[in-house]
Amino acid sequence: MANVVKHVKVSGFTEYLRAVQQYKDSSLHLFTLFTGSLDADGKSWCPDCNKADPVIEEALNSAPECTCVITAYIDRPTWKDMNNNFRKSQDIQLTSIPTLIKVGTEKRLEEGQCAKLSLVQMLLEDD
Amino acid sequence: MFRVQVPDQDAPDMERAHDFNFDLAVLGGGSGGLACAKEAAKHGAKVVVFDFVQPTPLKTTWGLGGTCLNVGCIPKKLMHTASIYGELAEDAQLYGWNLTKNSHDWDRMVGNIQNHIKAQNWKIRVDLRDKNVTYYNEYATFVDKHTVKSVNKRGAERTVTADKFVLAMGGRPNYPDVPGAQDYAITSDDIFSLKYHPGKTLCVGASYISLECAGFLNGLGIDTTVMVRSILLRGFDKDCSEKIGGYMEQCGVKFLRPCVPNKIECVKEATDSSAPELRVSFTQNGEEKSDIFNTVLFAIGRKPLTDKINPGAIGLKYDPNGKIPVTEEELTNVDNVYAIGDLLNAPELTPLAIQSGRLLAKRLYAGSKILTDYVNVPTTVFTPLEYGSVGLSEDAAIAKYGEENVEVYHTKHTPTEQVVREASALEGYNYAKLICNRADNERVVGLHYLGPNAGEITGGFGLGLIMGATKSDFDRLVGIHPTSSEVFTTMNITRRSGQSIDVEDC
Ligand SMILES: Cc1cc2nc3c(=O)[nH]c(=O)nc-3n(C[C@H](O)[C@H](O)[C@H](O)COP(=O)(O)OP(=O)(O)OC[C@H]3O[C@@H](n4cnc5c(N)ncnc54)[C@H](O)[C@@H]3O)c2cc1C
Repeated sequence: MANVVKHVKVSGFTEYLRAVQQYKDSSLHLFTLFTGSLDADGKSWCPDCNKADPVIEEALNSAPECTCVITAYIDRPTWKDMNNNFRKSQDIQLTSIPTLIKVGTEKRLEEGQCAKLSLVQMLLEDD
Repeated sequence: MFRVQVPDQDAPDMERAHDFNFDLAVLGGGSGGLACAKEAAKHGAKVVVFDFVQPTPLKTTWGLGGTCLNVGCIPKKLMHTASIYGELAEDAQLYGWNLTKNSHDWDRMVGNIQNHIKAQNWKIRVDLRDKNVTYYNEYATFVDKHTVKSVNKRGAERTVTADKFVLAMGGRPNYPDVPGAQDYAITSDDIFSLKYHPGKTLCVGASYISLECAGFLNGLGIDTTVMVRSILLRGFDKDCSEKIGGYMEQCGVKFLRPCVPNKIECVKEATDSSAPELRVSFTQNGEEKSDIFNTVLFAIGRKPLTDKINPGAIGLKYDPNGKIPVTEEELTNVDNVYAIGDLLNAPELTPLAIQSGRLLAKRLYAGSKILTDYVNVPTTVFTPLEYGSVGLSEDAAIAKYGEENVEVYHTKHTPTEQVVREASALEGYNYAKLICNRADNERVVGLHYLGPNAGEITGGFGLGLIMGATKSDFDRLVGIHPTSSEVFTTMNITRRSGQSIDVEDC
């Protein structure tokens, strides 16, 4: 990756919360990508996530240096459980994956939007 | 000027009849401007939208989307809803719910409403980007009829040229020429994001915005006074307007009338979490008086932002009140400059701004001939007693058709859901009226409704009016029972008959 954006990868809700705690008060612009977990070949069980992943990677290459992205992997059984913590959490209220949010704001991109470079860039570059 | 239709907006080299940066530049990203920009882009035009909010004297500011989303319809309807929930919570107990009556949490309401608005601000930006509309968060002013200069919040400038322009700057609230007004008072631009509980509040003005704000504040348990110079809701049906005032008074809103403010002085400054203490001096019925309030909200009218775009540079003609005269195609006196929304001499309503913006874009870039119809636009005032109307007021009908030709059918009604309520002074205000032209087969030229869900009811009946429904069509319609809207299908008492309109049992 050309740029020095910080990219943290976690699995599941507890690890996600811990990562947010760790970075949210830093001077970094904190984002989270909620996405489907990967199999042994590095492919996600979620087709839309596979489409978004390379686009987000590309956008991160030119993202501002103060960017920090947490990728939170969610496995299929967890996601299919309608009562999972990601859906239930008042702060996140996740309704689809992939979803890319700017933590602490109302700015988010969902599903197909995450696969559009210009939209991902707008989210990452917005002040 | 002839320009070639371009079916595909991704086509690399659109054939253009000009060398400007854009086909269309829209000044103002509110209801009308956004609708126009997106529609134009959909038909292949290269479009830019400028939207920039000048902060209020109290430094309130907001995001993309204009008045309606940020400081108008949306937060207003949500706060009205908050207030109605308080009322329904009382009813709920009569229906057997055991609720403990909690006080209202202003901060929680404002927080949730503002989060909704911020999410929408963002969605609009995504939408514009997605539809290939360029958006600049910059304030635009004219240099010449094809050029604007724009400035962002850091003072950086840019120059943009375009073939055509659509003016959609909307308006902002007026302040009176009263000492202290700009320093200490607020307007509808501030109330919906107010960081502190407003405390004892004075709403100045008889506009629908003043009465709506007073209505929801009072409904949230806030000590509320309305100061009015003369009549309520000028331009609306007089009969209905007075009933709204009467009902609000029964709800506990105090009215100072006839009354004008003279001065506002600060007794105690506001902090981040607490309202100030303000002494308001006023003249009521010729007598000088004063009182202490925490919040003073002026809602004495709005002014279009026409004079702020350097209109002289393009020789734009506009009225002293800022309204811009246009042709039926929304063309101003400058041949490549159009105007829509609140800038026009037409009802200041979001759906009308959207309609005029969309249809204009379709005419400009999709060969459409359809014009916006500014007649028979339904509207609703969200006061505690909601008021919906479409068509003419009684006075306007009499002026247009002559007293002898105007037949008024009217009645009181009791919404079924309210029958559990104990007898109270709030009863008897729900009212409906059809104004008909006897010289034209009793065609319905005005419909007025006071009661719950006024917007839901009036919107549907609007279709009847634009299709030219007569009183006998309303009689032919079978109502839905038990609802409030059915009242319009069974009206048989005319004002002329002098018969009582007190509610009969069903
Ligand atoms: C308190 C309140 C309640 C309301 N309730 C209702 C309701 O219930 N129903 C209803 O239908 N209507 C309601 N309205 C009216 C409705 O909000 C307006 O009719 C509507 O927003 C008008 O849209 P517009 O596009 O003309 O302008 P606006 O929505 O006002 O948008 C204009 C935008 O242009 C920006 N701008 C101005 N000048 C420039 C410039 N030079 N450069 C860049 N940007 C500029 C402004 O900052 C603003 O963002 C309400 C209004 C208020 C104030």
